Formats: sequence, structure tokens, C-alpha cells
Amino acid sequence: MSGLVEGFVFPNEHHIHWSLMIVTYPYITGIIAGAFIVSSLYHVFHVKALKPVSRFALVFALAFGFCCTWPLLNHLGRPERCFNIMLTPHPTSAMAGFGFIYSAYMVVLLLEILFLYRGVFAKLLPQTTGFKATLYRLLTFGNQDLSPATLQFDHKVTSWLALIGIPMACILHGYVGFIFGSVKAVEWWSTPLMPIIFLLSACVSGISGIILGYLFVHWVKGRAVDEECLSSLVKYLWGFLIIDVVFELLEVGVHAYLRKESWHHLHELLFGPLYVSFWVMQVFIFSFIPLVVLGVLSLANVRGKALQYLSAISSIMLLIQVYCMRWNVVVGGQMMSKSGRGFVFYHPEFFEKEGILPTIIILIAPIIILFVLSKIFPLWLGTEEVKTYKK
Amino acid sequence: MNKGRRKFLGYLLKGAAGSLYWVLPMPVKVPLQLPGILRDEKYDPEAHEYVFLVDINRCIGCGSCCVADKREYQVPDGQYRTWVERYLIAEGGEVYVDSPKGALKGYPEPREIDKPIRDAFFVPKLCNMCEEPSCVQVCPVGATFKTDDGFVLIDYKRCIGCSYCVQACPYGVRFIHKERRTADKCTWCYHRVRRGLLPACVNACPTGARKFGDLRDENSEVAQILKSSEPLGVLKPDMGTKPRLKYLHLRQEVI
Amino acid sequence: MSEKPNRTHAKRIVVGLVVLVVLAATVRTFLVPKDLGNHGSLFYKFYRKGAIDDELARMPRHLTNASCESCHTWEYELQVNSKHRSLSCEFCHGPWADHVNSEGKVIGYLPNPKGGEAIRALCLRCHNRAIHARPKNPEVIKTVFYPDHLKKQNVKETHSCDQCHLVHAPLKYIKQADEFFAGLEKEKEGARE
Repeated sequence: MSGLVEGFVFPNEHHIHWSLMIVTYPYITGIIAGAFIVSSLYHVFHVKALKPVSRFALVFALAFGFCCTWPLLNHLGRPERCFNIMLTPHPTSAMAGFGFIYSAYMVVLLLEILFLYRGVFAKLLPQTTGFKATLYRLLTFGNQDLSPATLQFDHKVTSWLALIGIPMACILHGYVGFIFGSVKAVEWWSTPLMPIIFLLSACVSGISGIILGYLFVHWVKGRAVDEECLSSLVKYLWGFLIIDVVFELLEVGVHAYLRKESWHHLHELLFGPLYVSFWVMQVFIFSFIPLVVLGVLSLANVRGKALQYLSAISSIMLLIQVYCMRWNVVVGGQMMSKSGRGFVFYHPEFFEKEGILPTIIILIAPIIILFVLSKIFPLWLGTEEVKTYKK
Repeated sequence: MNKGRRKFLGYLLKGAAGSLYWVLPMPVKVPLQLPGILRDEKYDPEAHEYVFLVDINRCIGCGSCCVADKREYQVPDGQYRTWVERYLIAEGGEVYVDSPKGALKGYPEPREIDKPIRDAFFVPKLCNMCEEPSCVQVCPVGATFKTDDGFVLIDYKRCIGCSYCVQACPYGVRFIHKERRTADKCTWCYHRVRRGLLPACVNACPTGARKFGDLRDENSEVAQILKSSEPLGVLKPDMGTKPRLKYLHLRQEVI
Repeated sequence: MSEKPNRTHAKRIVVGLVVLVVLAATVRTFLVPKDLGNHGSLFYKFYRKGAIDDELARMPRHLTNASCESCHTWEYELQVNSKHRSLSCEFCHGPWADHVNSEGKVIGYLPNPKGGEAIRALCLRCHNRAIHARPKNPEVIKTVFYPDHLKKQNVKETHSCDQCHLVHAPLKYIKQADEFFAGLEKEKEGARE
């Protein structure tokens, strides 16, 4: 935990307090926010091409939403007191809002899913038995009415919830950026650009996750991939990535051009201990290569296997890019001593409490949860198709 | 020393704990080091303005303060409520800073630098007790706060150990206590001050480099120094935290 | 589509949510301490009043030099009139609370390493000129180079500080010796005359 030191750091700084857990937490909220925005593009902005993934994106967000608090609870010194944050929220603390914003967002997300799926469940009920039938009955809240008026009502509610959900998803994640951006003691964090950068990279990681999930499931099940849908996902991903990279570099550029005292420390950080993970990994390999690949895919309107493979590779690279970005922000800020005269290095161990293994578990858990949820919520079935499915 | 007397002292020490607000229990009666505090029958926090002064010219880097502090609070190894830094400034202006073990063992060896040294001095560090503490502002559960007499304290029973305050403190004085698993930091020995005793580090300092007192007490040493023309400074003034901890003869190299 | 939609599920959900919020609010009132809130400033004084009492319940573990006087009068008198009067007894001998609470088991101790090494470690913490400590003004503290000081005083380098200096009153024996030799000189001069 307490790592190597270069130069002089204050004696209490030998320990990096915000560990891999706090790198993972904004990563997960980012994926949630990004996935939600994909589904809202269909539900609110009526981007018809995204229809095939609109439901998957919501359940995907829900699965990650369940795991969002895990890294936090594992990190807290006193996890048994976690509800204090909702019992006695300090009005001036950026962090105090987390409990409320997170639970409100989860409620909106759950409600949207319930209203979206009520009709589906009602239609599926006659052909299901046992525990699953009971569950469906519960999830329809006892209303299995399939009249067009009721379905229209469900649709309307879903649209409204999706509309409310957009600002909430933005707040949930942009606010995580604010938690960092509002720490004046850490020069690498305190910038008003932080919430924007967090939000944009959230969209990037969310869309990447959706592309990867969509392709993976369709490859495994041997179903045909909807290329129109994939192509528009790629275009959105490219667009968000452009703005994301511009803002990430703008932040560094402003620091570098202002050349205030903080830059002299930041310069040493960015061209010293953070050189590989920031410039080489985050910027050159995992941003620029996908930027070019996605650009070609979008502009040349590539289709077929090339589109599938290249978009899958870009998505994996971008998921790594966003994780690098979270690492560089969270750990990078703490590596810089507040004395301005040294750095602390952080090398998480595999088995420690906040180490690599717990991180892997926390990142794999949502995928398992998603698999379980897919048994309950038909991810790829539209309400309309149910009839043909029944035969 | 006879046994009866020893027993009596032990009895006083053990039986005295309690949370009486005005009459604070003391292990034994000793002449008070801060006489002003019991001026009135009731303690009025608004009537005091405590200031901590560190005279860099007088610090000899012995580390007595750090030892006293560690023992007063039984601070875990590797964590520091207070520490002393050694500054060496070379002829060319290069600054060399170190603080091995937070100066718990003092500075037994000179630091070897192959350049001529222009100046060398020691800088004790502790909680700055800011007027506008950023650590308090960010605490999500209200577990750290500023008292009416200006002390920034921690509510160990409500702290969740999120370490946001650790990140927010510009001076690096906060840490997550290894055993308690909550935030912890220097309190300027609030429990001693309210009993009329000096903070443990001030009491232990052999050269008077650490000074503590009430500005409202005209005769206190700190009040006299603040009225004089001695050069005073605070750390990182651009953070806008307005520290109550002031440094006498502070050099600009000190961060 | 003049048909009215069936909204029972929506109504049930809304009722459920309201019940949940009311329940949470009720539980909250039981769990939040009564003395927690804004005590003057939302920014800096939002806290539980009892936390101050908790902090005050902490007992001082160090007291003052005066607290040692009642039992250790002889040492106290020595120290209070010497150059070492500004030193805290507890720095070398350990905190008052450890001493009194142990009911005689620990009778004041010297920190490790013990014996001659401890004396050297303790004395050199302050009197080591090699570490460039300010102040250079000997009024505040006299510093020496070690072991040059021993050579200068024509004693063996293995000598520990307390062989010449009484730790509680460092110059007491030195002064006594000086006076003694000055007296001898006088006597000699007297005898010569």
C-alpha cells in the first residue's frame, strides 16, 4: 500500500488513501451514465437505429448500478456507518449528495425498466410457469392489461422517465467529477473542466460497453448483427470521443500555457511518474488509435465483418482508455505531494483489501448480474415481436 | 514515595473521567499554564481567540514535540499529528527538505549535500486550525467541525473514514487512524487547553519554538508577539483557508 | 382509442414509493442524534455538540513539571534552577499517566536504547551542532560538535555526557569543580606568600 517515494513528501502522504477502489467507482458510474444515455437517445430523441440496443442498455445500466456502491463500501474505514451519509448529509460537502443522487437515479432507472417491461411480462405470462410466473406477476404490479390505451400510457411514462433520467445520469456522473474538481488542495484535480471530462468519458465508456456487450451476445448466440444500429453506435462513440479527447487535452494545455506554479509541479508529474499511463497509454495508444479507427469506420461507412471486429477492438481500447483516465486522475492527483517537492508511487497488490483481485471481482460482478437479469428481462425482444414469438 | 499517596493519585486519575462541560476533571491539581482560561466561572468559547505560533529561528529539530505528541495520543507508527521538517538551502538556491520518521528520533545525523549550504533550519508542522477549513467543508457527514473557540475537531463516532478530508487538507496533516479507522489529526490538545494546560508539544519544547496562547489575554506571549514588528506568516495563504497557526521568521521556501 | 388506460400498477408504485419515503424519514428521526445540526455556520459548524464533550473526556497523559514536584522534590529543585529548566521531565522519563497508572510497576524510564547510549541519544538530540540547527545564539542553547567536545575537554571519547554533567542540572558539578580548583589556586597563592 504505502509505496515508494521520490523527493520529499509529507509524512502522512506515504499512504495513498484513494486506492484502486476509488478508481473503479467513477468507472462504474461512468458506464451507468453512458449506457443510460444510449437508451435515452432512442426513448427520448427517437434515434430509430438504436432501437435494438435500447432495452439492453437500460438493463446493462441497472446491472452496473447494483455494483456501484461496492467499491465505496470496501474502501470506507467504517463501512457500517455508511448510512450516515444519508442520515446527516453535510450541506456543503460535494460527497454528501451521493446517497440521494444514487438512490434517486436507481429509482428512476428501475421504474423506467418496469414500465418498459410491464407489457412484455403481461404477454409472456401465459407461457411461463412456476417461480418465473410469480416474479412476472409481481413485476407487473398485478396489472396485466394489454389494451392499447394502457400500453400507450406505459410508453408515455417510459418516455418521461427517460427524460428525467438524462439530467440525473449527467448529475450522477458529472457530480463525481465535481467531487474531484472541487478539491483545491490538489492541483491536478481542481479545475471546473473536471465534471465535463468525467461526463464525456462516461459516455465513451458507456457506449463502448454497449457495443461490446451487444456484439458479444450476438456472436455467442449466433444471431445476425444489426449493422445499422452498430454503425450509428460507432458514430456516436466517435463523436463523444472527439469531444472527450479535446477536453482532456485542453485541461493539460491550459495548465501548460498558464505556467503558474502548479504547472511546474504538474509538469514533473506528467513527464515523470505519470508519463506512461497518461501520455503513452491514455493519450497515444488508447485514444488516438480508436479515434482514427472509429473515424474511418464512420466516414467510410464500413459494413460487414470489418465493422464488427474493428468496433469491438476500438471499444475494448476505449474501455481501457477510460480506466487509464480514472487512474491518472484519482491516483495521479494523490501521487503529487502537497509539499510540491516529491511523489508517492502506488502499486496495488493482488490480494490486499483494496487491491487488484477485489477490483476484478467488482468489475466482473455486473456482468454476472446482467446474465441473471437477462433470464428475467428479455433483452432483445420488442413488445411487438412477442406475438410472433408465441406462434 | 509512599503507597497511599500513589493510590490516591491513581484514584483521582481513574475516577475523574466524565463529560461535565464546565468543571473538567484533572488527574491532579497543578498550577495552570493558561491561567486566563478559568477567568470566569463558566467557560465562554466566544471569549477566547487561541493562536499557535512557531518560531522557526528557535527550533533546533530535537523532536521532543513529536515524541510528546505520539505519547499523548498513542498515535500509531507511521502516522503523524505533528512533525518537524529540515530545510537546507544551498548557495544556488536549491532547497533540500527531509523529515525522517517525522523527526520522532530527532535529527541525529547531518544531511550530506555536496554543495555549500546558505541556510539551514527546522520547520515544525501541525494542524493549521484554519478559520475556513477546507477539510470541514468537504466532510459528507458533519463529522469534523469548527468549535466556537476556533478548534477544528473530529467526531470519531460519526466519521465514516472516506478520507475526503485527507485529500482536501492543503497541509497534509490529516490521516486515517490505523486502529480507529476514522480520520484523525492534531487538535492543538483541545482536552488539555480546556483544562488550562498547554498543548503537549508546547509543554515539551525546550527552546520555546512552539508558543500557544490566548490573544484576548493582553499579557500572553502570543499577544505580545502579534503586537510587535516580528515577521509573521502562514502556510499556503493562497488557499484561502486563513490558518490560525502562524510562523515567526517564516521563509518563502517553506511550503 | 377512447378507452381509458388501466393505471393500477402506476398507482401501486406511487403508493409504494410514498410509503418508502415516509418510512425512511421516520427511521431517520430515530437515528439522528438530537444535538446534531447547524451550530452557527452550515459551512463549518454543522456537527454533533456531544463530540466536543467526547474530545474533552480524553484525559491528559502528560502533565507539567510542577506535577512531578510533589514526589520528586530533590530532582525538581535541581532542574528548576538549572540551564535545563525548560525541559519537560516527561520527555526523558515518559508520560505522567504511564507512571502513575502503573501503580509502581514502571518507575520512570529512559527510552531505548538504555544506559550510556540513551544518554548520548537524548543529549545529542539538542546539543548536536553538526545538524546546523538555528539558533546560533548560545543564549538559547549551547551546541557542541561530538566527539570534538570530549577531545577539547581532555577526556576519553568513550565517556558519556553524564560523567561530567549532572543531567538535571548540567553545570552543577562543573561549577562546583571550578570553584574547588579556584579555591585551591587561592590557597596555593596564600601559602606562597
